[in-house]
Amino acid sequence: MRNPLMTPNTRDELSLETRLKGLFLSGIGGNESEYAAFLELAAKIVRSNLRKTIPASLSHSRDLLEDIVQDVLLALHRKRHTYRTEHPFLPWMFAVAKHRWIDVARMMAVRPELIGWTESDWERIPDLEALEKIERQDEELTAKDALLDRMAILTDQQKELIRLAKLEELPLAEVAKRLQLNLSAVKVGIHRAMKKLTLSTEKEKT
Amino acid sequence: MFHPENKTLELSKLLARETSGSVLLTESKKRDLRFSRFALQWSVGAAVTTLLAWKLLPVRTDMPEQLRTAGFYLLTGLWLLSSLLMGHQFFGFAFPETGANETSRRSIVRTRQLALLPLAVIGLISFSTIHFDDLTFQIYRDSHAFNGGCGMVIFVAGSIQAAFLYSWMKKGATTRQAEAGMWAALSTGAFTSFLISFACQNEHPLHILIWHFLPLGGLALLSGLVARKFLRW
Repeated sequence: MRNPLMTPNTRDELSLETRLKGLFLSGIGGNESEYAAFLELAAKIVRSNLRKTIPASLSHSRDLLEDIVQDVLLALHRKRHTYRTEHPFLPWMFAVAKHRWIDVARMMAVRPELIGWTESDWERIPDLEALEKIERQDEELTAKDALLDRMAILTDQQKELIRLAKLEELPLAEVAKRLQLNLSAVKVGIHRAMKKLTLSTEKEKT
Repeated sequence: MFHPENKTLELSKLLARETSGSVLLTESKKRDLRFSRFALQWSVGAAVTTLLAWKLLPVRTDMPEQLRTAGFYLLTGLWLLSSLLMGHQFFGFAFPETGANETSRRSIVRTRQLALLPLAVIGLISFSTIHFDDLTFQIYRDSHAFNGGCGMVIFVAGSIQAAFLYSWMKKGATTRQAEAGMWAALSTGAFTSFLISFACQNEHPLHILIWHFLPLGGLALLSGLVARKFLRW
């Protein structure tokens, strides 16, 4: 069976191999921004593979997932001199990442073989579209987190209004029905809550 | 609010800063994984072991006669050859195993088998000279075959030289620590056996198997266990 890591032939596979290798080589040659771009892309790939391979009980924690991603990035950075330029890049990157993940799993007393994890899980090239989708989801999640954080200044009813109308994007009529308010009260409530949030943001900026 | 992904982003920028300018130069010197660098490290270890052997082990009394026999050259040559070949195998472990490619995996196996060939020849030569029909008598008659501190020398000197190889391997990124450790010990143990052949006069096959081969195997196993912890990264 064809191994996409060793013989990349689809557009995505070729593109990822070329893109990563280019950024990495230019980065270790002293180009700081290219190297940062390489690490960011590597982090996305590792994050995507981890989400698919580590058990749900562990992956629900964003902090833990990110700890592993950072561990893998550090390993890639510390062992960057072990890459031989004449060889394909992705197998090297995945070998280092896989090895580091196994070590981290051991430290967390998780046996990879017991959670149905196989070596080939690390030999999967995530397609770029999926990566971008994950990235968009992450951004949305981050924005939602930021909004929830800011909502601490609102009253309980205003919080509920914002949650239903802005985060869950329900129609205003549905929000009114759920909170047993009339439509105009909902509109006024959302308006006041948004004003409060905007003012607080502006205050923070100054 | 604090987002873990931002922490990763910051880390990426921080690490990227490390790749610029003079930091890169000093780093690359410290992490030189070229074969010439490895050969130098192996030779330093070998020189230390040779010096120790020269100071501590007496040269065999029949050395002048041995130097006139082809068998002596063959045996010592085989020990040295196996040490060098196994050292070369060890070098390959410094790089992460990317052998998803079946062809390269097969070719690696072939080379590894080849590295063990000289050792197998020594074993076969020793084994073939044992007469199994009167083994009990032989053991009784040749009880001197069971004497010898060669095993201890192989263990100690082999470990010293292996320490040099370990320190080199720490710069690499082996994904097979135990195997790397075993190859290191096999290489250094074989080199010590090569040195011992200038001091040890006992050429009885049982002596070779018990005092040269068993310690070599023992050292390889022990080294494999130590390497699992020591060569982690």
